[in-house]
Amino acid sequence: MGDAVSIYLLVVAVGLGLFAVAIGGLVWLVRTGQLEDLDTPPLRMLHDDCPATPKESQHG
Amino acid sequence: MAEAASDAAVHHEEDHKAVLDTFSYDNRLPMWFAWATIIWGIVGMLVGVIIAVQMTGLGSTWGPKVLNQEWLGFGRLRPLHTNAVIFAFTGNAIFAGVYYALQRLLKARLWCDGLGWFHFWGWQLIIVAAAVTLPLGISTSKEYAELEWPIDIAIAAVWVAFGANMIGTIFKRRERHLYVAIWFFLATFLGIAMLHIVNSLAVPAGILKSYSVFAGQQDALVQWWYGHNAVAFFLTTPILGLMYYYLPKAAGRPVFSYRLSIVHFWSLVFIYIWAGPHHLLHTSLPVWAQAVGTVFSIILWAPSWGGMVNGLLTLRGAFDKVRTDPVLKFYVLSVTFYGMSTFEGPMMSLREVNALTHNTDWTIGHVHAGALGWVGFMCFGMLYWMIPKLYRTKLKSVPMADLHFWMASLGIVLYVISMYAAGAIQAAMWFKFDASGILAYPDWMAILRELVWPYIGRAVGGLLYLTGAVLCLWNLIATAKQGQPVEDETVQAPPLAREKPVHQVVGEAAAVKGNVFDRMTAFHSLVERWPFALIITASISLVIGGAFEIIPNLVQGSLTPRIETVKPYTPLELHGRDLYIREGCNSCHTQMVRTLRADTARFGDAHMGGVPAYTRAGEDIYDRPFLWGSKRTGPDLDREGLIKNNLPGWHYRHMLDPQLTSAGSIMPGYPHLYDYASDLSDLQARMSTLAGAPMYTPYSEAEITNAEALAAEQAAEVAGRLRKALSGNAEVTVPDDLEDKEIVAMIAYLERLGTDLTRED
Repeated sequence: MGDAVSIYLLVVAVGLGLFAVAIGGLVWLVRTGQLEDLDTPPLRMLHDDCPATPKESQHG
Repeated sequence: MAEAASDAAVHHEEDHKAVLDTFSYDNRLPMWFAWATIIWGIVGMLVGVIIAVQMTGLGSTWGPKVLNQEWLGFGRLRPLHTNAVIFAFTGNAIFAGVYYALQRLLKARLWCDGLGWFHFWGWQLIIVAAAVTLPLGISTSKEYAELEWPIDIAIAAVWVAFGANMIGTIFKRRERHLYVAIWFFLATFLGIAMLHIVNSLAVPAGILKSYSVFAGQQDALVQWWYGHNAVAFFLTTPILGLMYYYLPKAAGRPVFSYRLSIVHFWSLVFIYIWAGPHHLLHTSLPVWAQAVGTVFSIILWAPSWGGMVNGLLTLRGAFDKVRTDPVLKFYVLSVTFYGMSTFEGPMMSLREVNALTHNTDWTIGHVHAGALGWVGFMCFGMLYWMIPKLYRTKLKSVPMADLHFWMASLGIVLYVISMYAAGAIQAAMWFKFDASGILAYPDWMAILRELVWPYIGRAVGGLLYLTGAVLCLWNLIATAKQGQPVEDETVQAPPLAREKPVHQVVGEAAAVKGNVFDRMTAFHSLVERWPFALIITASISLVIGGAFEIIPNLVQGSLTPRIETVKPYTPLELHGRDLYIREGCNSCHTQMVRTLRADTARFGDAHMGGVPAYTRAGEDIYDRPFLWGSKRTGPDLDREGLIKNNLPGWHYRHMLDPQLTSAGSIMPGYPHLYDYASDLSDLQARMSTLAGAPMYTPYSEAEITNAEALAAEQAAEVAGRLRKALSGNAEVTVPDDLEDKEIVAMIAYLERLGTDLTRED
């Protein structure tokens, strides 16, 4: 096997590895309903958290 | 009535309290990473300014020669600059930004405080190790991966801690939806882990020396697959994650299109990884592979501009705020530079354009538009937004931040335009043939002299940018002083409906009765329940499986030289090559004559006995690592042995003081090579490493055992020739023990370059 071809197999294999991970991630996103609401997340991230009162912070 | 109503209100409040978790965000970790960002940023930029001033001729054409200290050489400081600004400045900014945003997006404290501090101190120690080893010349020479193997292992360990902390936090989150920024952060973790491990595969030949398991053209492909994707996964995806969090936060309005941001993410993840070969156009890489790189690079333009538009339009209706808010000023210019760089990149991947821009300073301008503009401005904007929040105060001085913005902007413009000018001059002169078809500017020095003003412009631009960063540090310190650090920020959020605990789910799966198929199905559904387990297992197995399958092939492939006359380096030449790597000569000299007439005519056609001089893949099969380089400030050296063999003593005079042979050269002198005796004590170890698995360089037992004697024999021969050539030369003195000096090994290596292909024996 020539040098050029064999190194390509490595790079392509690793590239496909990332590809497979990405596909897996995408499938998971869809199946768990991550993509069902695309309207409120960009709004919700703008809200700052409600600060807790000092007394309650003991639970934290 | 009133009493009842207030009663109800109290009850309602208690219900509300009962469903809220009270917890705290760790602000100390992002705080420390933020300070590390600005401090290392200034260090990295300062080194950049120093080497930019060197490029104007400091220490060679002007200024005291005493600045030619061995550890101040451009070849050693350049990797220090690139590593510092990429991994120290940008790296710390990414970690600060990720740890701050991740906790808030997931409504959870970081998974493990201890892991966070291991990450912080581990990363800072790695940076210090880099800052010590690189000036000492301890380098692999692979760009943006110069650190030697013990540091590489430390990087892998710290990187895994970073990923584990992110994923652990995702597991304990109180917000079901993973905001798009988090996907960019996860891709960063996975991508860099994979790239770093593959590109760093090397066999140690000592505590601070290793040889790449890949050779020549293979090593070049792996390196630029890494190099390009380091841009993708260290300088693009994490910065985009920051953009998608901090830009909407600062603008006070949601991202223009959340759907577009998701399309942006997935298209980058699927396309970026295939574009690396555009760094190797017109080389000995197969043309089909080059074409793959070009095609994917052009495709990348579309999603990149989608992201740019998405960022800029997030400010719709809020553009007036850009006038008054320095944070938004930095973000707007940053995103604009993202658009510019991601347009320019695909253009530079076109073969015809690349022929002109590659190896020139145009490329340096391109990367700095991306690094200073896109990455730098995003990081500064984030710091100006985050530090006041972490210290519960307001930015100390808005006019000072505005001044920083304008100084840095002017600095970038000056820098980039200077480099475009330099690149255009280089391309025009390299490629110019006269009416009869002969190179119009055969004298390299005539070209270099034209670059003085662009290089001065670059240094001034860099200085402006650095000064802006110092103002930033002052402003941030003053801001912190007037505020109070909020180290643990206590907040409340409703808990996420918990899934069953792990042990219970596993127990249930184990309790499934029936045939083997039913039991397997039960366990498989477990894997599906935990997507991250699936993702991690899949990627690790794919990468390991792929590597084990392919590496034996690589070895087989490089066992048999395809060009009969190409032989491994002699012991002395090998030592000279390692010195070439130590001094970072590849920072300015390429060893790749491209398949372009402008290249072959300039770099060797006349000396090749009738065959064209371009570099063949088969010539580099013993080159671990490859030394093709990427920037041609000095001439290509791939045929150096052929070109200079009629000029005895030339190299000796040149490296002692380049002005002796090349008036106006901006190369530093290397007097220390004439002082130090070659350290051959580990030469046998180096050779047996190369001869061992998995590289199998064909050195015989006798060659390895007699390495020092063979080296001494060749050194005596080279030194004898040098003495003869230099006798009566008043400019230089030749030491009595010349054969022991490092310069002799270096010259032996340079004289060997390019001679294998045409030699008779």
